[in-house]
Amino acid sequence: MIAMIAKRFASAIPSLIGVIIVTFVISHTLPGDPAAYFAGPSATAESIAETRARLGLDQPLPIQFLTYVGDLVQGDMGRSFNSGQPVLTDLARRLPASFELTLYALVFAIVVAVPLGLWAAVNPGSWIDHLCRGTVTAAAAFPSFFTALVLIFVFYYKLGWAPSPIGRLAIYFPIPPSVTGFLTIDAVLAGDLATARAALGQLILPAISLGLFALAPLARMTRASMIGVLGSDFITTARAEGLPRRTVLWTYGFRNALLPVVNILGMIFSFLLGANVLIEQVFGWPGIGSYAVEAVLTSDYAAIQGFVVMMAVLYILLNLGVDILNMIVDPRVRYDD
Amino acid sequence: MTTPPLLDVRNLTVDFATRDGTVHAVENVSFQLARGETMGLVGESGSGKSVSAFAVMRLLGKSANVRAERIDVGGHDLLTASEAAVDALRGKRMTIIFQNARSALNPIRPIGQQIVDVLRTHRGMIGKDARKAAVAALAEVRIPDPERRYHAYPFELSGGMCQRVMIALAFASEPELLIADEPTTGLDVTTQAVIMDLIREKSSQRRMSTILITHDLTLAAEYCDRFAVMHAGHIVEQGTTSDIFERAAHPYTGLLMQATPHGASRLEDLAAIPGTLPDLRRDLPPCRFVHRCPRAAPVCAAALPRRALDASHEVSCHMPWKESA
Amino acid sequence: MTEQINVPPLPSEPSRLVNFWRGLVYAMRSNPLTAFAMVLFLLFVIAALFGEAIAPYGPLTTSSNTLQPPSWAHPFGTDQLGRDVLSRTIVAARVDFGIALAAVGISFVLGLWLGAAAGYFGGWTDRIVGRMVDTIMAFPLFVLAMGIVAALGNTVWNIVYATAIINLPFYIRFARAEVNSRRDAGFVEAARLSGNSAARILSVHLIPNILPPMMVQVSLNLGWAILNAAGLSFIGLGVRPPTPEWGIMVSEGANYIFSGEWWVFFFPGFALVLAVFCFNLLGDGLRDMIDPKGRT
Repeated sequence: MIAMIAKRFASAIPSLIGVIIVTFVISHTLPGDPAAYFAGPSATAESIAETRARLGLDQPLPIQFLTYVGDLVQGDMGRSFNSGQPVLTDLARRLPASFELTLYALVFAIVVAVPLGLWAAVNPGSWIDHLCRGTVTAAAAFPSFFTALVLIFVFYYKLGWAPSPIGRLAIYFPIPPSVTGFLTIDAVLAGDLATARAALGQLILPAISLGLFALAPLARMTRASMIGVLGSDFITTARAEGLPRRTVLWTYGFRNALLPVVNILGMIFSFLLGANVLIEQVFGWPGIGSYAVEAVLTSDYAAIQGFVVMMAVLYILLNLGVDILNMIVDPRVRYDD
Repeated sequence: MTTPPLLDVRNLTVDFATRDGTVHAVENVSFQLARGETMGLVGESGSGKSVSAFAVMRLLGKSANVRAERIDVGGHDLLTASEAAVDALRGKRMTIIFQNARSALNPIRPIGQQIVDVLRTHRGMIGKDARKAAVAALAEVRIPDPERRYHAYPFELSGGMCQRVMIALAFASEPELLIADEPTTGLDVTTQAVIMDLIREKSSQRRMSTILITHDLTLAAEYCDRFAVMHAGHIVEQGTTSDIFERAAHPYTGLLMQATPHGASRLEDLAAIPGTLPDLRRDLPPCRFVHRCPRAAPVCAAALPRRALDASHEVSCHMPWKESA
Repeated sequence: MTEQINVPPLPSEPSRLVNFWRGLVYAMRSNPLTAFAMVLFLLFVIAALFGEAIAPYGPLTTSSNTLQPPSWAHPFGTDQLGRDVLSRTIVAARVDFGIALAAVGISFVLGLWLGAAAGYFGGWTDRIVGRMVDTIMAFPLFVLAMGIVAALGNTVWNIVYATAIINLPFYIRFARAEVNSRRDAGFVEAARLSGNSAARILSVHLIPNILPPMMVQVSLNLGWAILNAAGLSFIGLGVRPPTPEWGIMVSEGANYIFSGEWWVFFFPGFALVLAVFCFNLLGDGLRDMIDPKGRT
């Protein structure tokens, strides 16, 4: 098992190399002259040349690449033009906010999508099946930023149920001492339930907007996979053996149907990490997504580069996690090779 | 017949609704099976063998429209029984073994555990007892090292081993009726014999009735007491093994036998019978063999008769090879 | 033998056209939404082609009637510059459909050939293409698109390229798998033995065979492409104001939510939803027609 996990880790290395090359290419094909940009508006020809030398931009590309990789290995992603901080520091500080949001969204999506998909699969052609199909198709069509705005309008502006959709915590709540970086958990750990509730309140709308986006593929997959499993030979066997309906559906059906669902979690993460950027923008969420948008709009190159690398690394790690989860639930993968 | 048959199927008809119209898969099929008897249900692929068996087990999906005058197993009416009542009968009274044993076993559940599931359901066994019984069941179908194999997953076993597990699973609940749906297809010849002997041994020990669905006539002749020959959803002829093999009355059976010089091959290899199975989606003539039949005559357009040639031998044909004595 | 017998002959097989028509009718009837999507699609196409002629007002015409709620004169209301939201929403169809079509067109053609070549030749070609796909897929796709637009420059064409690149893997994988499974089929072998070049075999014998399933992919993909393009312009990349485009209009309208002027963001957003919805339904319907078993 440990050896298998190590092997999966090793298999992620080519992807990692690919990611680093692509980000390097992206960052070095930038239009305009970064040296002129970094030297500032009042730069002279000499100061630009000096900046270029300082940034190593006068070196041949392979050398630049090696320098870039060397810096990355040391965790040096450069300095953000906007904040003046090292990019890594900025990202590390903002990451928990994004993580917390994504996690809640994922939980929401799973809790809604999996039962919906199962329910539809067990009663194919029924009204619940059509409802599932309708919901899934509709949810897939709603851009997360639009859903977010509709939810804000209805639940904040009209009904007043939701707190002001700005940031992770209203200004008058104390920020709990950071343990996990998740405000909801940290507040509970600090014994401050009012703050925990407030943080949760801030999370609900963005998490739902984000989760709705992941709902469609999850429900669709659950339904398809459960229908496939229910039509398979071993379910017929289980029924022919007269096993109780509950055992047939859950022990035999559901557990098998879950395998493909676990498999698409990687794709779901891709969806969530992307939509995260938009949602954070709408809700003024101080995560890495809104950081990236700001960086993109102000051409803060080091920050963009750092963000893309970080997202890719994160995504690779998440996929690795999905693979390991897969090994745990599916004996065939575990013994494979 | 002195004792009532274990299985009594009368005028079973099954239609399937599909996007291309209704498939008349099985029509007016009747057969009886006595206790301890083994009946071969033979015919080409698509002739309705498996559909009939599935209909008896009430395992067909919602797209199937099943009608019959009667389907009785051991005195239990399966036709009108509620879903729950059928659940209680399945496994307990009747069970089925499938062609592809590996895909018929739950891929992510240890095989021993799967046998325990059956034991718990039908014999109320739990914990250590169930475990022990499951290991014993594996040993009984001669799976080597059953203690260790108890924890194995189907993908870790060979096809033949999986089929043994299937048999252990089927017999675990001690049913009265076993339907074996092509149990040896895809296995090599030696394994085929081993599996068939195992089925015969176990079922005779328990006086179980068996329906052997196959397209392998040679194999079937060796193990069956009686035969029902199916063609395009009809049982065209049924009788004892010698009735069928030596006194075939239906032109279809006759051609089969001619093309199968005793101890020869499978139905699928027979090029001797002209034409193919008719498309079951269309309006069909009363006799579904008429377009392939060398003896077809104008009378064949009339409703199909069911002629008893003697006590055990029955044929559905206007123009049989041999008239009754 | 059978001639003299009084038995009705078997009817002949229905023709392919009849089969196709039956499939279409079946798909429409079993899922009336497909028919609905078809109508919707036509409406969008009309809006995209003749938008400026249909729109009651000029999409850029400002007026002093700013932020008016929906009324008879302005069914979708007016925005912060007094422009008619309905007119802007209609005209925006061209930009959004244009971006999506161009992007999907590029990734379709490129992906088809790269994937087909990888599937046909195998070996190094396959490995290089495969590595390329893996690398693209190693990114969260929307993030990659953002990075590409940021790097190439903030223009509409770069949105198209970015969307095309992130769509590419799906087409490559699909075409590769389809070609690979047919590579050793009899008719390909025959074509090869009779001296046809690889390019000819691919374009004459293999690619036409995989086009129908690819079209399903295209239809499903268009919705996704529109979502991505609108997402990018929502965060301020690509299309610039005052160009009417759904993503930007939603983004601009977002500012007026807190004062209750919902119509500014809602209608363009809803148009976007309808467009994606329509493509997804069409894709589903198309798949039902081509491969009824693959329905999910």
